[in-house]
Amino acid sequence: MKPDLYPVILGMAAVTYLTRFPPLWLGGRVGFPPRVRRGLSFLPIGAFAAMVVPPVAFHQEAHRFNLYVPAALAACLVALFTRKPLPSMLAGVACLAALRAFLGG
Amino acid sequence: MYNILYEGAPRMTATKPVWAGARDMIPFSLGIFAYGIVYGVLARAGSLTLGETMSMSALVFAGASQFMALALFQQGAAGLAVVLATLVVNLRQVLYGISLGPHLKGTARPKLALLAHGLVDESYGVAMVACASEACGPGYFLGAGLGAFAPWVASSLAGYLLAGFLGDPFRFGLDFAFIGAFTGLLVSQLRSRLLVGVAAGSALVAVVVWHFLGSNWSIAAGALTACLLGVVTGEA
Repeated sequence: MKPDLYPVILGMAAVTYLTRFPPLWLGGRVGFPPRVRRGLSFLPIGAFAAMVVPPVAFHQEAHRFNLYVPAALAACLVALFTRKPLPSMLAGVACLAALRAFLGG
Repeated sequence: MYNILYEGAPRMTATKPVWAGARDMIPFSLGIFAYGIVYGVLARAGSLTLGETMSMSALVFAGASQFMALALFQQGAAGLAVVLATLVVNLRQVLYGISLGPHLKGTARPKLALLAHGLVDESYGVAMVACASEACGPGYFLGAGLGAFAPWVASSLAGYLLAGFLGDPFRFGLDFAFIGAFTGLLVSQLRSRLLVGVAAGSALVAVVVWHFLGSNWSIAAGALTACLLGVVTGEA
């Protein structure tokens, strides 16, 4: 018999909310010195890079090629010209789908 | 010159801010939807009830930790372990809140408490890019949050109910949607050689951290690296 999951789900919700609301509230109340403000404005770039590069580098496809690499190159190329997330996403997804269809992945 | 994220950001002309936020989320909503389907399918396969599946999506609303929880339930992990692991996976959001907070300054606390629930990777990224170019307030962030929440909850439900009929939601390459959309956001922000260097340095640290500590810490490590580089390269 499966144990009751609701208390666990509520616990997960509580700790997740703790990572959301208090920092957001504090961030609006604490006056940061200029250098820290500059650092915080750089933060998204580091987060974006960390969301993109390691999952591509460590991706394992069903067959021997890491198809995320060409997909990421396609997304990058389109991003360089359009500077917009939607066309970049579509280019990466289309490239991946095409390669998988071609390679029978 | 603290706002480094300016040109090429989504436009918010005469549109209502809530709609602008939701609209700018569209490239991300698609990927969120695809992952939500997978979550719903896996939750059902892990013999969660519909109520458990949906309350997790609505109340926890954090993709990576929900997938991790499913895996831990499967292994029969203790509840406390699942909660602690969730905290670890979501710690990066502390950094998001601190950096986004100043842009939502002055929002009434109950309103902010509600908006906070919509803080995820995608809404944070979209909002930070928009906030740097134009005045962006609680309305915009509400739209961005809903642009993540609505597809996640809807697709969790669809995945659970239609498991077995939908086939693999990733067969059209949609597993790459998240990375592809963030690639666009990242490249759009690389407006100077310094920022290219910051991105490269952060990516390198994230790769090393992923290799040695696993994926739970890599995003926080990359974000902190960029923040630190911003502090040390600032004019005294």
